Amino acid sequence: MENRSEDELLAAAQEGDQEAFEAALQPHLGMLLAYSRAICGDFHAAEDVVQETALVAFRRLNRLFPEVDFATWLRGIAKRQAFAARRRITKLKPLLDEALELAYADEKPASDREKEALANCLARLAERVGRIVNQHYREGMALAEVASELNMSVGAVKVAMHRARMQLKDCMQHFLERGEGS
Amino acid sequence: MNCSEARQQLSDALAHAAEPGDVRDLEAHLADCDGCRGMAVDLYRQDRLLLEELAAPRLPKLARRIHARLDDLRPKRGGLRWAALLALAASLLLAVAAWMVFGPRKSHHETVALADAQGEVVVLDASGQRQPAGAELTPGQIVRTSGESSSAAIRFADSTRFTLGADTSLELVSQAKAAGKSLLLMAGTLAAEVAAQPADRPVVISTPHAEVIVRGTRFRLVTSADSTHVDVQEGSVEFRSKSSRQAVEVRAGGQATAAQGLELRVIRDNAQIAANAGVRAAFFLPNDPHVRVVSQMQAADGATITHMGDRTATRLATPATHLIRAAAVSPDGKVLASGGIDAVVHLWDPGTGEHRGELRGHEAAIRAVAFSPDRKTLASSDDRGIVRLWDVAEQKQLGSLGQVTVSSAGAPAFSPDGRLLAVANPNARETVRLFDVATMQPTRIIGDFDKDGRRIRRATCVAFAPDGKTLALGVAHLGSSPDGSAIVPEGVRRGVDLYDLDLGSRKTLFETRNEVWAVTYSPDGAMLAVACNNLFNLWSVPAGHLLAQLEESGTFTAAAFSGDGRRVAGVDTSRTTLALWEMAD
Repeated sequence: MENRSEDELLAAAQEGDQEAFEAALQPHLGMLLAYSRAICGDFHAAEDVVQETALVAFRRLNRLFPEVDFATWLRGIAKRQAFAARRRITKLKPLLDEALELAYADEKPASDREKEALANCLARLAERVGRIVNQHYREGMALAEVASELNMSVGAVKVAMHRARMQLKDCMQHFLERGEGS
Repeated sequence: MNCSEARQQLSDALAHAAEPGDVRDLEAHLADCDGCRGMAVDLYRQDRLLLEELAAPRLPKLARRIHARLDDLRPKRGGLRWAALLALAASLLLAVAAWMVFGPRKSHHETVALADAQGEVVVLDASGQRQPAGAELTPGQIVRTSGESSSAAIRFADSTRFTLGADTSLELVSQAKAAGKSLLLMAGTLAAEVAAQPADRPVVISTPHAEVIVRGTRFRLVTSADSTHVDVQEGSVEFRSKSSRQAVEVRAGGQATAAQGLELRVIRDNAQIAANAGVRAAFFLPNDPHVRVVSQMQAADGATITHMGDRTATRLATPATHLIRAAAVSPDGKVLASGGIDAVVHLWDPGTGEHRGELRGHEAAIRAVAFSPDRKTLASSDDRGIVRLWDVAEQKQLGSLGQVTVSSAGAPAFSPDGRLLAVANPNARETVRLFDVATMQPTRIIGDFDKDGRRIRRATCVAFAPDGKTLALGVAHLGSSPDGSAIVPEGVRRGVDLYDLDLGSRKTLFETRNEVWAVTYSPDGAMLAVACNNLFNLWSVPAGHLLAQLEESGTFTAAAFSGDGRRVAGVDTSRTTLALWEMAD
């Protein structure tokens, strides 16, 4: 277990200490992977983006000013990498991108309470809907792949995913505000 | 496309399963539907949480992959590998090609020499690796001085000389004769003696805040995390602010700075504010120069007011369900209102933290609260866009203005005489709606349309100037499609407009790519603090001079001035951070 603070790790990393850099990066990997996956659409591309982000960040550590938040700085690099990868396949979506940025602007990791709410609410999804969410988010399967796996039409999977999102949203809001699920 | 279809398309877009045509329709719908834009942010947050939680098992493998790649980058001992041999061959080929193209001419680079190194001076390459400190520097190399008595100089062949002071980092970006000399001052102090340069190839020195363009002069440049300052001894330089894109010519004897007359402090200290807390608001009380911070911790730990002078923390006895999202103090400093995700507004004594009452009536999480100048009335807005007015003394609701704002809009703003309430971005057709507080009826609608009646801007926040004649508006421009067939928000530009209520005219104070979350006037109305994503800055108004700027990653959502206007605090809700400017004596 690494006992040094992020600032101490980054100071060591700036002197070329690769292990310190990896230790400083580690807490942000989940956020970076989620962010890159949200932009790229699949885990393979997202993992490439995160790997490239790590390399670029390590090379440019000397440009990380002390007052700049490390996570935000990393996200800035990941964004350039991910958008460069994405631009090859799709056009820009300015308002969706704006929503994405706002969703990641909060640097604090999800609280234990939110995680608890999510686990609780996921457990309340109907079995088939729960499988769709799991295969898409955990296994990284595209909705078309999920449809073929579950012998459903793509349209039906899309509708089920949409309903799952709405149900999760309401359930989590209720859980967090009232202290329990609906 | 209606909102229900938009939500389905949003869900498809999150899964990257939407058809391109549907995405275009969705974007057009989002441009016009503030509610769906709020929903988009909520669903992206949910997507983030699902990804971070369910994809967590992938992380160890990813970490190993990164470790292996970083290892690959390390210089290897022992024999050369195939890749290295290939790289060597390629670079030889390149060198030959370069010689064939450029060889016949003498040289396209000037020699740059490192000289007069005192104390600890290191040369780093672009990847931060130490380089042997040779006499000659090449582009991409960084000279760094560390320690009080350290200094170094770099000299160009034309006798141009830059002297680095202590704790300074300077990158040589370019020395090509064809492109001109280009340097990046990352931090520290630079004294420059620049020989006459060709008119079309000036020396360009960049800092995080500014660019200095020089054609032959002597000057001194100091840059820190917060500002860049230039002091010209001879000739003149062009000083260009990177954020405002404004350029000034600074002549001999002149100075320019991005923090004129202001001292900036960034307080980013968990111990000082409150560990593991999110800063929600900052305020000053009359006759106390120190800012106080309202911060929210995890539910069970409640919220605190921290006095930044003596660092004392006052606990607010918030119920566990009252997670504070917004807070405001009354202009006389007697009452603090906090709005929470439990749809309740609580009232507190801002000095002692004593609970003074609660206002119930909202049915969705509170988004913003604002006091009238006489403190008799409080306005609050919630996630459903409902704005309510409250009698503060009686602690009862005066009424609802209905669904008039949207989740993305900032706090409602009272006019200085307390008779009007401005609400930003009420719907797709209006930029700002003004209400008569006494009758709770709309009295004026401020729109902003192109010749075909389409709205071209939406407002993100609003403030009245103390004279009541001007509105400062945070705005986002909605672009138009080339054929004019629909509003397509390509390349959203944002910024702050000043709207003259008498003339009905507007002028742009500045433009930025960042979302503007709050605009706050100083008590005398001579300054405007602007809080944006990644940007917190201070302007003289109406002249429009940038007085000071903090540009860093973060989400600045609110600003507060002290009663004497000599201090201004900016709140970064994405972290435990407070930016504080104090006017120099």
